[in-house]
Amino acid sequence: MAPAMRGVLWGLVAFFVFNAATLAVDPSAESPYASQVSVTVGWFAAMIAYLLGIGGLEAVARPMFGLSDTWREAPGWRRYFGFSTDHKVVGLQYMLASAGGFLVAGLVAMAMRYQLMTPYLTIFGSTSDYLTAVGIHGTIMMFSVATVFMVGGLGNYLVPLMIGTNRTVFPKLSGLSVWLVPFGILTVALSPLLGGFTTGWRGYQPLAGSDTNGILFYYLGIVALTTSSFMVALNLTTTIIFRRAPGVTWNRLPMFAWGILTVSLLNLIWLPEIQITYLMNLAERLVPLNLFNANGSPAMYLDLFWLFGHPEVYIVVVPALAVWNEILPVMGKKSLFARPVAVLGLVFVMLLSGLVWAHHMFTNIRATEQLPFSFFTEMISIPTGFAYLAAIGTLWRSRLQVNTPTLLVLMSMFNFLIGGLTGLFLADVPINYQIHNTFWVVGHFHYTIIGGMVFSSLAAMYYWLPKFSGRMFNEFWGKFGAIWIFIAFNATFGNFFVLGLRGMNRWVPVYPGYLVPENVWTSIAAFVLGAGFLFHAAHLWWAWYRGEKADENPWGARTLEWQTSSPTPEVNFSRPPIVAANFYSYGDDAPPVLWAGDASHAD
Amino acid sequence: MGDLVAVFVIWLVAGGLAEWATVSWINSGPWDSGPYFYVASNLGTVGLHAFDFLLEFAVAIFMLVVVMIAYSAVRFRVRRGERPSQAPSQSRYNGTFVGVWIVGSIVLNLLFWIHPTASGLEAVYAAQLPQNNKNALIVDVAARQWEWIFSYPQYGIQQAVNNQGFDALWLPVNRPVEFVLKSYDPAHNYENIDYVIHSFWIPAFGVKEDVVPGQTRYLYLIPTHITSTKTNEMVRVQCAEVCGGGHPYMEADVHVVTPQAFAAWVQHQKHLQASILNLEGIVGDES
Amino acid sequence: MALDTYDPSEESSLASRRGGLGILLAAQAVIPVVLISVRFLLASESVGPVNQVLGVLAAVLGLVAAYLGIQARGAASRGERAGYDSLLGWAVASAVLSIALLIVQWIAFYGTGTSPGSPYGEVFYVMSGTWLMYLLIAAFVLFAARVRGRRVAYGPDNYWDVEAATLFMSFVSLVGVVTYLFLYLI
Repeated sequence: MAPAMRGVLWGLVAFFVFNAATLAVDPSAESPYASQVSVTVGWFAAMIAYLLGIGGLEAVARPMFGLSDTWREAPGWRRYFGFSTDHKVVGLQYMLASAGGFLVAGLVAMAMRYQLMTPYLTIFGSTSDYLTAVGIHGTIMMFSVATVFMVGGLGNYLVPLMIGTNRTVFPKLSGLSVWLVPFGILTVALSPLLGGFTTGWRGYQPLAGSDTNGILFYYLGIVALTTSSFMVALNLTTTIIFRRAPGVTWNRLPMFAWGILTVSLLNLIWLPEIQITYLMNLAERLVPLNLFNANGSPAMYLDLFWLFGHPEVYIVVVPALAVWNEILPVMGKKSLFARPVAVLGLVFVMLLSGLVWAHHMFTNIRATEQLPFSFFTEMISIPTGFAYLAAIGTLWRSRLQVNTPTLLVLMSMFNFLIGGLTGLFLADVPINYQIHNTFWVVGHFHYTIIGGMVFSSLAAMYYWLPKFSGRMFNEFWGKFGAIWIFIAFNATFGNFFVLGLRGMNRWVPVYPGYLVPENVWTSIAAFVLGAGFLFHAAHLWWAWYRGEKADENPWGARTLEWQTSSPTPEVNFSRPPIVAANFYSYGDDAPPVLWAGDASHAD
Repeated sequence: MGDLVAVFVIWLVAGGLAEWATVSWINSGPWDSGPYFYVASNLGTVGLHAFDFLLEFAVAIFMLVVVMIAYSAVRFRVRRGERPSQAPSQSRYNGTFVGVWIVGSIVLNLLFWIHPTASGLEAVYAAQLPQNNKNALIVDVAARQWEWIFSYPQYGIQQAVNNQGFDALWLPVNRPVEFVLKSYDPAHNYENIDYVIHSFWIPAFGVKEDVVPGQTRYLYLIPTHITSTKTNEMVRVQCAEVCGGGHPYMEADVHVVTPQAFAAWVQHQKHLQASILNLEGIVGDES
Repeated sequence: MALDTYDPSEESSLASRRGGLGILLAAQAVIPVVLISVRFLLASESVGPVNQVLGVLAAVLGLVAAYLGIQARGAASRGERAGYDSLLGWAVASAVLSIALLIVQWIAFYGTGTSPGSPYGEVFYVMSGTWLMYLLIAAFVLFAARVRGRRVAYGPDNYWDVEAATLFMSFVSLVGVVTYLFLYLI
């Protein structure tokens, strides 16, 4: 039996067994089939059984107790459906799982946009159903796509290659963590079975307290997904610190590795914070307690959530900023401009991101707290701008190949610029009084996340496709798709700003009639955008298997991942690379990256 | 040097056009409401002025960055038929560019924080001082799932409703209003576990304030124009914080009227209220 | 350039594992910090009807488990099979006893009639519950290290498992002391 199948089966059995066993001893069961406590216990049991079934039993549990590791990875494509310790397999598993989350949450978004074409309910049976859809869309997008695709996916695949090592420090940790992603996505997506939840992705208290039991699957799903991200952060941070090849000094560490290192530090600090907050929420429901309801402190939950919630959005976007400055020097054949400034930008964004959280609460906090938080919020745009400074400095007088990855990076810079400048308005408190919780906010963060992170992820997929598969995409169709989503994206989310200014608030499937025409246009553009993403997926899928055979280093890049053959061989570097020069020095007289005499091709 | 001049000239032309469009937008709409589309309160005007100010700068910054990116992508690209090669210039640092960029972004951000943020907040805080709101009309606002309930303690109106029995907010123009905001359910005041956060928002007034269970919040503002929900649907009370299934329906009509019309409305409400109380009294006698 | 920094010997591999575990424990320290903030926000400095003796004993037993673990690590690094086996056994026993005392404390606290929904009640159950959760994990990893030690002989080149379990137990014992201080005393 395939490990994935075995994991699902064991998980299901464990869920029903532990659910039933808990019901048998729980005197307060609310229903004959499932109570809050029994579902929670069953879910934790299912998670453990599922991880054991995936391959954890043979590869982790047995060695832990001194027995031999009897895990054998299946050959060929089947190895992607089971536990693996190869960081490349894990990286691709992360990308696939994350893309699956993008598909699920994207389809939910299409349903939401269809609903919003009319000011009355159509495809959703009730407003609560719509709010559940909003919550599922946001939760899956944030916790399994935005913070996972680049860090868990690209990070796991590329960082060990970029720093010249063959394996991560804790390969088994990553092997298990990736399987928590589909598990978490499924948990959140199945929350309607328990009645759904109306709080959106933020799980605001005290509303969550009066929600149906569907909120349990929101908490539990996030616990699984954040645990996965935490494990990745731990593994990649340790790997970057301890396993750099000789010559990969901190001054030479590639930009993308810097990006992953900074977001991993953010993850390491803030994910435990949100996990304990969600466990408190869980206890609040199960016991029950009065931590966050009207008898406790509702505002405390808001603080605890946004303490994590704002660093979260920098976790999303910092790798994207790093990818710009990874791709542009290669495509422009020009040395990276002001590299120390660009690295400092990433680091300062990381440091400042913990000081801005209450700008999500300007309509809530007391007046004395508004000025400092608006100050730090406006200041964080300075280090964020350093990514632009480096990118524009690199573009200037370059020899730029305007191909699909370049185009997507430039588009990402354009979109993120709008995302950043619209944030300037939100940071201004008197303006915030009006546009907070309107579609302006929704437009703003979609510009930063889709416009910044998703566009950069697509650029990265095209740029590293020859590395992953050894094949090249079609330049015409790549550009065609890029222009397609660029136009559709701006047509969709540009409208959001106007909608917000005209009084369209968030979380409403039913709204005043004067907003209908604008919403109809927005929805049509959104459908075109959704189709555009499907087009890119199809194109990448086709290129992966049928594309033209690519050269080993088609872009003439200098970073280490391109110094071994493409697609990446089973053993990344048969001989350890020894780095003797800067990765981002171009020009005819640039010294070779590898120490002479140490050709590291895997042949 | 030529490239720099070209970027500057293109920015001046394209940015100038964009600024012209921006200023036309700012000067459009009733009472120059521009980007806010409809502003009818003193606090909204503070926000609107800040918005207009930031918009003019944001458009200029946006155009500058976009022109730099687009110019580089066009001017320095590898043209069709050319072979990619190493860039002729490999400059890795330019103190002038980096210095101007960093100093410029710090100066701009400090400017934005001082004006319009801090200066706007000064205006907002001043508008919230009780001594600047003498003779304020007090409106007690109870937010419950899912209804706005308005009462006027100075006039003995317990729940202001329109002729269909829906909650309605009536305000006299140009008189300060003190909203006293609480999240509770007057009809079920023992179930405080179920009280949730709402947000009191009137889009046309340009301001919202969260209503948090267990807290009493105050919001002072002055409606500056005679208007109503019928005139423009942005003149409505709308809950702006997700509060459960009824969230989208949690809205109420708003009427900003002359003092005379307000006095007449008060009499009408008292009459209405008396008749309801009589009705309840009769029912009470029978039981 | 020395190749040995790249091609990890057992020693550099051990260094990276130690580093990784250190990062894990540093990150986990965020959790007590959050809980202490919550404790003061909700219950200020009030202390409910807790049994101080049970609290002190639970915290001390955690320290004892950590101490025994450290001794077991020394024995394992010297390859003293009988030594680390019995030391790990006692460490597990101390951790389990600490867990038992916490549960007794829960029962006693519930018996005083303090509602779990009262400000101190919820802080008490949340903070001691987190302590309990950590203790359960620590007891499990110590137990696993002991079972593994019976099948795989620890020695000078192979004692990472004992060391990792011990480091975790040390962290948990510190969590216990901090929890005791902020929950029972302040």
